[in-house]
Amino acid sequence: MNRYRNSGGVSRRSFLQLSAATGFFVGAGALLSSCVPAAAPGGQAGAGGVTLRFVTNHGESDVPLFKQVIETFMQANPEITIDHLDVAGNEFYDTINAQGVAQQLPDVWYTRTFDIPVYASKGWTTNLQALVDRDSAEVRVDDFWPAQVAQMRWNNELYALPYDFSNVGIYYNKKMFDEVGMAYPSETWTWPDLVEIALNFVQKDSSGQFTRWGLQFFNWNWVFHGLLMGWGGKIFTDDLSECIIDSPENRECFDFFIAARQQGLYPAAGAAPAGVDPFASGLLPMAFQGSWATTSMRSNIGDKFDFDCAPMPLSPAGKSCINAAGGAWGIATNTQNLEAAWKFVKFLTSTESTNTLISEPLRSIPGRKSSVPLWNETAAQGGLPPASVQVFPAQMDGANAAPFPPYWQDYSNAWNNLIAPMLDGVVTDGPDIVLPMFQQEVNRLIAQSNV
Amino acid sequence: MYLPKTKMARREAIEGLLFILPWLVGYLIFRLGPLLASFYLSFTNYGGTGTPKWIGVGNYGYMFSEDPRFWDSVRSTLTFVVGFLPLSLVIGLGIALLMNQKVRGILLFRGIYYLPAVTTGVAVALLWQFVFHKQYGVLSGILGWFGVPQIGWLVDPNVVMYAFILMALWGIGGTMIVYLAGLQAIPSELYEAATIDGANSLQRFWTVTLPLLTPVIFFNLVTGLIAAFQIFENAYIMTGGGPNYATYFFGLNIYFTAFRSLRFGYASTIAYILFVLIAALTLFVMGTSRRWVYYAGEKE
Repeated sequence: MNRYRNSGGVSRRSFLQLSAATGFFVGAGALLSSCVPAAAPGGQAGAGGVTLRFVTNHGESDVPLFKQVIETFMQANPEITIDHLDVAGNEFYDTINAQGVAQQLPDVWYTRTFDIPVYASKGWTTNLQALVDRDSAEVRVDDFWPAQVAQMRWNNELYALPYDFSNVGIYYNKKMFDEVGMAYPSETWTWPDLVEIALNFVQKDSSGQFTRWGLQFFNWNWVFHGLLMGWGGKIFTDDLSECIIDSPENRECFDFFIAARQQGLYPAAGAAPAGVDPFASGLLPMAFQGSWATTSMRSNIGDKFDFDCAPMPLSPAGKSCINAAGGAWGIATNTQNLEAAWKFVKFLTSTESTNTLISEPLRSIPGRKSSVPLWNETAAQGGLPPASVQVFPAQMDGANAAPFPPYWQDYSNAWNNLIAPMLDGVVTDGPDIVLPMFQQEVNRLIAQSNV
Repeated sequence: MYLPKTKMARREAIEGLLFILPWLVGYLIFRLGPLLASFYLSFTNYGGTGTPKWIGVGNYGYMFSEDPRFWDSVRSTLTFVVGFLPLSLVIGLGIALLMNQKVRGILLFRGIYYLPAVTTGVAVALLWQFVFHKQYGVLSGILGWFGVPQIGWLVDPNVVMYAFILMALWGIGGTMIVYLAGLQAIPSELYEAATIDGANSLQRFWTVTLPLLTPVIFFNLVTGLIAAFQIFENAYIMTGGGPNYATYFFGLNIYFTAFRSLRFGYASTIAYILFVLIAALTLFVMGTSRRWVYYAGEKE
């Protein structure tokens, strides 16, 4: 008996020969594939057709909507096939950044307005200005929100077309307002007015510890930029080459919110219960929340209480504190099917698609003004709260368009580490100490990103 | 270079190489290649587009002299390693000694202690967020019974490192299992001989258990050292490196610099410093091992 023969009947010699052959082909294939240029993204889809790769960053509930839009598009354009991939959460950024470095970006992908300068400055997204000018009647830039148009530009040229736009207002619990006998917020209220109202709801226990606050607050930087602008401050120089956040106007704005937090306007970090939505559960009377939250508010609150929403309060000087940010569609510079991708982006951003993606399912504010009537109609269906939901699109007209610089990710990282702890009461240092430190850090990062 | 002399030996060598060929190819393409590429990139300003521009040791100079975040990473990572590693070795051994007892239901206890080591990172991080909540957390509640004031475990820059060490200690089941295997490999005759010689349980531990466990302690020390330096997941999910960069560990700094800021050249520089740091400390530990690691049967 051959001592090398195993129980399965394959000789050791055969096994080794097979292994060697497999190893050779795998190794040679891998080596060769690394030597040749990468396959071009997109490609032929049958005779004379093209396939476009399309990546979104949404989630399960939006995927059927995209599927619907894609099917409509492909029926109208049978020569183009859309290969859709939705990457939820932060993994999206890992995917896009890795593909960008490898010059393998999808033909069309979702780009938030604060990502547009990042991608455009790297040469990852196509400058769409010439195409927009060529097809201006179809694109209708005047149907987009001016603030979003400003944010979709890089070096004064358009690099994306809009999907949606978001801003923040104040949701309030009408039942709690009625209980303390407070009048509902007016359309022209200011932040001092809000604080005055909010303090009526503040409660403390016997040890002096807050047990109820007036407002659920978030320190999102892009939203807070609107507050700083309302107070007359600026964050960057016009050419974005320097951070100038350490100014008297900005210090005043931060001081206002820190002082209000110390009075109980909003909870310090770790003070409010975790794992529950303090507004939806009826613990707080007001929430500083986005236009995107209406649907989730409805499902979270149900019939627990009646609620409505009011516009973002004005600054003490009566200026708008709205800054907005949105979603948009960009085309990769590495696409080999620019015209097909452009056709698809135009379709995605059309009123018809915006209706399907945003207004009918009541997502955030539509990227097209012409879709707003349907959005308002959907919002009003069934008489569900908030009755004044149209404040969100209405306050778009006066919205500030705070610029998003190409070093936005660095900026956000520094914000989360230095500004957020100050606003949340994690550190006792005030704006006089933190703002110079933050400004210095951002300017260091700007200098480093320019190396 | 060793060359087999007989035909049979050569054939064995070739066969051996063929067996490891798939791994070798994978290693060359997916490990060594990127390793060398990132070493080259650490001397460039590569930002994800275009051709990397050679800047010599510019990144290294900047990192040591001008980047406060690098020093935040050094400080936070070393603090974590120094705080966690000795405790994990001691507590892991203590639990392993308990789990080595012949008591009813010991397998269940072993399973319970090992369970945290196999639970997924994100779920664990979210769980700990509830445990560490300043006002409503389980830990604050328990400490409150003893009059300890509320602590901002995850929001206070002066305290957050303790929270990370506590979290990491919760997952030392892996260390414990290795210790347990080591304990069970110690021949019982040695304990019997020591008992006959009049050794009490503490003496048996010092003269039999501990010396024979030194290879296992050495293994846990080296693997623990490498793993502790690479702490990432909990900080990424729970604090994002904050507050005030208090948990801006090396791994997080590298990730943010490479995959958020897209400064691949500079991220490679930080990664290589981490590599050098881990390699130097590992070599140091290995160098000292001759003095304190005892291998039974080894010639003096």
